[in-house]
Formats: sequence, structure tokens, C-alpha cells
Amino acid sequence: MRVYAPVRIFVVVGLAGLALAVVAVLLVTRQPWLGLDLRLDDTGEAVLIERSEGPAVLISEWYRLEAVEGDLGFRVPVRPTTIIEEPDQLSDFATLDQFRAEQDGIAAAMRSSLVTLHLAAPGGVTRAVTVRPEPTRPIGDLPAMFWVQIIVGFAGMLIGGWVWSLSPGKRPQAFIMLTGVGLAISSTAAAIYSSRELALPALYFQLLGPANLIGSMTFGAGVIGLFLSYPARLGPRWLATAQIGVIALWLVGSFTRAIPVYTFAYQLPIATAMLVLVILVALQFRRARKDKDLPARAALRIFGLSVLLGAGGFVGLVTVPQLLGLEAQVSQGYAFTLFLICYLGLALAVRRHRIFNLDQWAFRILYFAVGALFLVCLDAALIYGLSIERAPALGIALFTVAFLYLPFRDAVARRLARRRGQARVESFFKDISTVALTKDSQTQAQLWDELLLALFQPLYVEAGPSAVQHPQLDGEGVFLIIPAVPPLTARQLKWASNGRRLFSDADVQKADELVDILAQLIESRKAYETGAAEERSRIARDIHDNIGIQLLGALHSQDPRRKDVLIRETLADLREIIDNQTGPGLDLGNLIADLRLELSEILEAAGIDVDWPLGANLTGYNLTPRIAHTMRSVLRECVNNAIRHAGAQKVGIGFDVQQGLVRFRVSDDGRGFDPEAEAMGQGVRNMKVRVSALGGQINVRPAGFGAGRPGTMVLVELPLMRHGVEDNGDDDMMEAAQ
Amino acid sequence: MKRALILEDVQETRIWLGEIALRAFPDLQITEAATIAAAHGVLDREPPELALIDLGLPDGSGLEILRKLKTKSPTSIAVVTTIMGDDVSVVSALSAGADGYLQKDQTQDQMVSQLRQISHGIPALSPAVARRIMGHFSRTGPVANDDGKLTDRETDVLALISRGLRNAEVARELGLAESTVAGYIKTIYRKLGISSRAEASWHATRLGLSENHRT
Repeated sequence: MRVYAPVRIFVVVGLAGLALAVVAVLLVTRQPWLGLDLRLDDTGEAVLIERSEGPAVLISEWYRLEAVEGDLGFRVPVRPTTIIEEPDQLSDFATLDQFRAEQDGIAAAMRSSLVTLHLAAPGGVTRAVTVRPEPTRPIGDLPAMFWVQIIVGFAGMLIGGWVWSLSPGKRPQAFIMLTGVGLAISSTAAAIYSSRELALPALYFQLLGPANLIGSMTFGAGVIGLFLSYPARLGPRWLATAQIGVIALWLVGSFTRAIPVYTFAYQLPIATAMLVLVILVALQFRRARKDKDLPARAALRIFGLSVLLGAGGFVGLVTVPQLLGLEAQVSQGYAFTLFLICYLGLALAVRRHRIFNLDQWAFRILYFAVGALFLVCLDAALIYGLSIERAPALGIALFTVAFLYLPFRDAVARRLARRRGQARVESFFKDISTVALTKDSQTQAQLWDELLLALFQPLYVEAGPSAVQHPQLDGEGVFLIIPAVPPLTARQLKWASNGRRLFSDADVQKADELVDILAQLIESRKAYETGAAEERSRIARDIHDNIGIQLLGALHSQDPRRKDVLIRETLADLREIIDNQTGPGLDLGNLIADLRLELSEILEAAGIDVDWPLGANLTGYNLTPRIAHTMRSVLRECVNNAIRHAGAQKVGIGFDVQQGLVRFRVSDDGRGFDPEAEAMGQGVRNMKVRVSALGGQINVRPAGFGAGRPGTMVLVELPLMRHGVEDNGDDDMMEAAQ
Repeated sequence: MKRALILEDVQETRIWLGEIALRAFPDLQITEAATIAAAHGVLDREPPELALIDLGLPDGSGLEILRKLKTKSPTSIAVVTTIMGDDVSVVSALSAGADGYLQKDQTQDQMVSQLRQISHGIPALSPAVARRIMGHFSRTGPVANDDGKLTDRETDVLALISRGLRNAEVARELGLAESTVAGYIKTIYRKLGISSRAEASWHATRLGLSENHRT
């Protein structure tokens, strides 16, 4: 089945309704016209002339009209039934047949060139007046009742079309369309025959009478079907279809007169349908009471009650009195307006409770389609005006068209077609990045929907199928499916450009672009966040491994000088952690340079000579923070020992790199290594633990300066890359920090 | 050297710095300030001849005071005292006109000797800062203004300092007098040097101070 955009369906339905109304107006105005307004006298037994105009303008009011006679000389009596508004009110088939025959006679007489009206004055004097009827009835002569019924029928079509156009495949919506069609047929048919001046040919009644009943019953079938399937389905699925069959059968019976009793054939089906409707609405109410879904209940209350009030009001005021042989309380024409209550209730339920899953947006399409119809009418009126009016001056007509009509039409059309720009994806880049960077997932999803709405202007956005990988069309362009861009879920857009068109391949391309950009942005945001998280954890780890443990060591240290050393080391490490924000580690050459300045100043301040040859430039070797820290600690410890314990006068330091190992040597000319010195022994043990934890080696031995001043030499080898040594050692660090 | 300003928000450190200044220059008359606002007051009364300026203060950056001092009294010696001493803040201090910088986690002895050196016109550069300056000059390449370009000798000096050598060692290595090395460093300072705030920020950008990575 081909799929159409809702506005298209809606406009077609609206035009059909409009065509129906135009046909009705043409049929009514193409009748011969005498210019009489008739009414029953107070006894209800005679027909009085209330007002006269046109061809019959000379006939005084208050005359009784007794008979009409045409060229052929047949004198057809005018009875109270002649001007009856609704022939269905007649009591049996025989009366109906007689009514139709008399109507045919009068209608034939009125088609004569001269018509003789037989009148009776209030005093009993009779006279005959000959009148030349106009071939057509002026449109201004049509009673207000005619227009009311036409408008009711048209409104039924419009609202039915509105609901149906948005989901043509759904049953409840289709039933609402059916009610609209029924109401339009019924009220338009009634409008034609009930607004007749005096009579219509029998053929009109033979067609319009049944049409009126068919329309009414179609409306009935629509509401019964609707409440069989909405909000809850009552009974089996086929029931909603089957009831249409039953009604159709009953109608066939009525028209073929297989149902012999007239009221059974004409009024009873309507009353029965009404009764069924009442029962169904009651059942739905009972069903809804168990339902916890409050909006559905509230919606049903509004909609159900308005249907009962509208249809029930009509049946109660018009059909039931007919059924009981009583006089109708209200003119049927005006009673038709009661049906509008049903539709008002529907519109209210949509607006307040999103009945039929419609929402505010559904009113946009109503607005647009009504506007489009308005334009069509405007054009039609112009063409009609130009051709019929035989304008005294064509110039004035042209002037009007050029300077008033065209600009006005243009303004209306522009206003209707106003688009917020079929913007290119790039111009939404800022919005896309806002979506990508929004952290709160709910806000993010909302912004994403807003962006999709702004870009494609669909009637609405809803959750889409999650399996979709790329943007694609569904339902032949009804839906545009936007795949999930984690963390955003898949969405589907329904009806492009506020329902004016279907989605196209161009939209898919646009969506592709959009999704690509969004995915990239979200990806880079994730990468950024991962990077930031890694950096945070690096800083946390470094602070824990170095700063925390060293401060703890300083806290527990009894020796004030040792405390100072530890705190200074901590500050140096802190600098290192902060400076090393982006690099993966520290450059060996830079580390040596920094240590060189620091240590040689310390040694110089202690009055010790430093022999630290410049050596090869060792920049370009990358160190992990752990190795850098170990090298720094070991060197400081050695220098510290040389100053504090060895009484050295000269310290020599040297570095080199070979086969993936960094090697350094610290020698002094002091009094030598004394394993018995507790403080010093602890320091050396610490160094050993640190170095071996990194897979390196440390060797402490006399420097060989001879007896008395043997000196100390510390040789350290550390692998530049740690092989297989996991960074698990908080314990050794703790020990090292003491 | 008569009057000194010590701008430092931590009280203990302020006292500690005062001791260092007095050990370096025994006759010094010291005014202390804990905030930028207080320091402004001191500068407005009478600019000191020596100022030890901390950078991170509760009500702003010490660079503001540094610039004001160098504008009001260019001959005053402004020394930045930092704790973190990261190269970014040190380079921006130097380009704002600092005569030197001291890292506050050193021993008092070290601090005293460095302060004496600075006040005697022997400027100090840390290896990290020297590396950054070299990186800057090599990146900017030949500059239209010849004054802004380092000579080969200056580059040699910087290269050695960047490897951790002190002025005296650099002098020994290059066969120069230590005062000559100090002269080179002063020239480098001058080439980084500036006189206005606008220039300072321009320079800071040019120096790549917004970059985080080491050069």
C-alpha cells in the first residue's frame, strides 16, 4: 500500500467534504423558485404564507396555500405534510409513498413556465394567483438551517480526516473517519431535502431519504466500532467488522421494505445503535476503572461522555419522538449541531490527554490543512465571482485580483508554508556539540530530540528500533530512523516537515552526517575523559606512592635533619608530579641535570668538592616516574651519607647508559663504609630494596683510597625499562621511606 | 642595601625568609607583607631595594607586585621565592623582570648563598628554565630584531646550564671567567626582558607558556 503524508490525506478528505457541500448547494439552488416562506398555522392543519418575495412578492401574507397547479392543469394539494422537515417522521410506508407522489407533482408543476397558486384568505375566500417561477433559487434565500447542516457535515469530515490521516492503518482512527463520512452524508442529505421551498422531485427523496439513513447508520457503525476497539478491545476482533455487516443488512431490509413496519425500518435502527453505543461506553468505563492508567480514564470520560451527549442528544430529541409517533421537539437541522459535541470532546481529549496518541503537534497539522483548504476556497470564490457576476467593469475585477487578492493569498500561503529553514547540518554544529558534551543523560536525550526536531521538523520523535545501525527510512518514508549513538538511544521521527511530506533519501543523508558528527564528538569526549581519568589516576598513584609515604616517613622520623631531607625530597617529587603532566615519564638527561645542580649546590654548601664530569648527553632516554624517583632517592642518600657520615672532602659522580641499563657511581674519600653504624646501615638497606624492586643491582664497596681513608663507592645498575616487575610494592616503599 | 620587602602569606616561611635575608645582609630593614594589597601599600610608600616575592598569594599573583616594583624602581632587586618552582612560573617571573628566583625547599645555607649571588649581579638559571629558554629561541628561529636572538656563546652557556652546571662550572667548561658567564645570563635576561605589562603577556604567549609540555 502506498503511503501518503498526513497533510495530503487530510486535504484530500477535506476536499471531498467540500465537494459534497458544493454539490448540495448546487442541487438546492438549481430548483425553480417562487419566493415563498411557508409555515403551519396554529392548528397545525393548514399551510400559511409567512413571507413572500421574488416572483411571489405580490401575494399577501397570512393567506393559506391550498394547492399548486402547473401548465398541465393538475392541481396538487398542499398539506401540512408537504412542508414537513423530515419525511422519516411520517408514520408508515403508505403515507411516505403518498408524500413522495405529491412532492413529485408539485415539483413538476413548479417546473412549468407559469404556476397557479390556490390561496384561501382567513375569511374563507379563495383565489388563484399565477406566478412565473425563477428557474433557480438565489443562494441568499437558503435558510440558516441548511448551512448549519452543511457545516456540521463538513466539520465531521475534517475532524475524521484529521485523526485518520495521522495513522491511516489503525482501526479506531479509521472508525472515527467513518463517523465523519456518515455524519457528512447524513446531514448533507437532510440539508438538501429539509430546506426545499415547497417540493422536490420524487427521485430526490428516493435517493436522499435512504442516504440520510445510511449516513446516520454509518455514523452509528463508526462509533460502535470505535468503542468496540478503543480504548480496550471488547469482544473478538471480528466483532467490530461484523457489526457493520449487521447494520448493512438491516438497511437493505429497510430499503427493500422487507421490514414491513416503517418505524422499524427507519427509526428503530438508529435507536438500537444508540442503545448499543450506550452499553459499549458503559463497558469501556467499567474496563477503564480497573486500569491504573489515569490519563486514559480521564480521556475516556471526556470523549465517551461527549459522544453519548452528542449522539444521545440527537437520538433523544429527534429519533425517539419519531419512534413514539410524537412531534420532534427540536428542528432536526439544528439538532445536527449536537454531533459537533462528539468532535469537540474528541479534540479536547486529544489536547488534554493525548487520546489516540495524538498530541499538541496534531493541532499543527489541523491548522495547516484548514489553512490549505481556506486557500482552495478563496481561489474557488474568485473564479466563481469572476464568471458569475458579470462584473460591470472587468478592470475593477483585475485591479482587485492584482492588488488585493494576490498579495493576500501570497501572505496566507507564506505564513502556512513557513519553515524554520531546511538548515544544513553544519549550521547545527554548535547544537550537536552541546548534545555531545552534555553530561546529564536525561538533558542530553532531550537536547538530542530538540535538535532532531529543529533539523527535520517531524511531527514527533519517539523511541526507535535499537537494532538499526545506520539512519534509514521506514514505512516508505513515514519514519526516519536515527540509530542509537551511545549513550543516546535510537529515535524515530514521524512525518517530515510537520506532516507536509514524507522523508526522503536526502533526509537519510542528512541524518547520516548528523549521526557521524555526533558519534565523533561523543567519541572524542570519551577519549578526553579517559585521558583525564588516566591522568588523575597517575597523579593519585604518584601521590600515594611517593608523597604520602615520604610524608609518613618524615612524620615518624626522630632525626630532625632526616625529617628535613624527607620533606625536601617530597617537595621535589611533588614538583615532578605536577610538571610531568603530559609526558609518559621523565627524560634521563633532564633528571641528571636537575640532580646535578641540586646535589652540587648541597655539596658545595657543605664544603665538599664535586667531581662530576659532564659526560655524554643522556637526553632521549625515557624513565618511568618510579625509576626517576629511585634514582633521585639513591643519589640523595649517597650524597647525604658522604656529607654526614663519611667526613669526605671530595665526591665523584658519574653516569652512563649501556644495553638498556642506566649505571651510576657515587664515590667519596671519606672514612669508609661502616656496617656497624646503624643509621647508615639502614640507609643502605633502603637503597638495596628500592633498586632490587626495579630489577636493578646495587653494590657498595670501599673506593680504595688506602688505609685510614678507604672511602666508599656505590655502584648502581637499573634497567631503563622494567621487565616483568610489577609496580606492586607499597611495602618496600614504606620501608624505604623510614 | 637598606630596605627589603618580604611578600609571603605563610607566617613561618615569612620569618624563615627574614632570617635568610638578615644573614645575607645584616643591616637590612625588613618590611613584611602577607597579601598583594599590603605589598601595594609598601610600594606606594617607598619602593624597597630588595624584594622577596612569593607568586601564589591569597589575593592574586606576586607577578603584579614584581612588575610594579620594576616599573617604579628598576634598580631594585626583585627575587621570586617559589615552592613549586615549575618552569612555567619561573619563566614568566623572569620575563616580568625578576632578577632571580629561589626555591623555598632548600636549606637556609643554600638560600643565603644564592641570595648573595643574585644581589651581586650573578643571576641563576635552573636547568629546566634554561632548557625552556633554549627551546623558545630555537623555535622562534631568526628574529627580525637582532637583539632578540641569542649568540652562539649565549646558547653554549644555556646548554651547559640546562645540563645542571652552575655558573662557575660553566665558566670552567667554556674557559671563561665566572663574571663573563653571569654577563651572558644577564644578556639572556635582557633579551627576555620587557618593560610593560602588555609586552609581558605578549612575551609569555611567545614563550609558549601556555604550553604544558617540556621542551
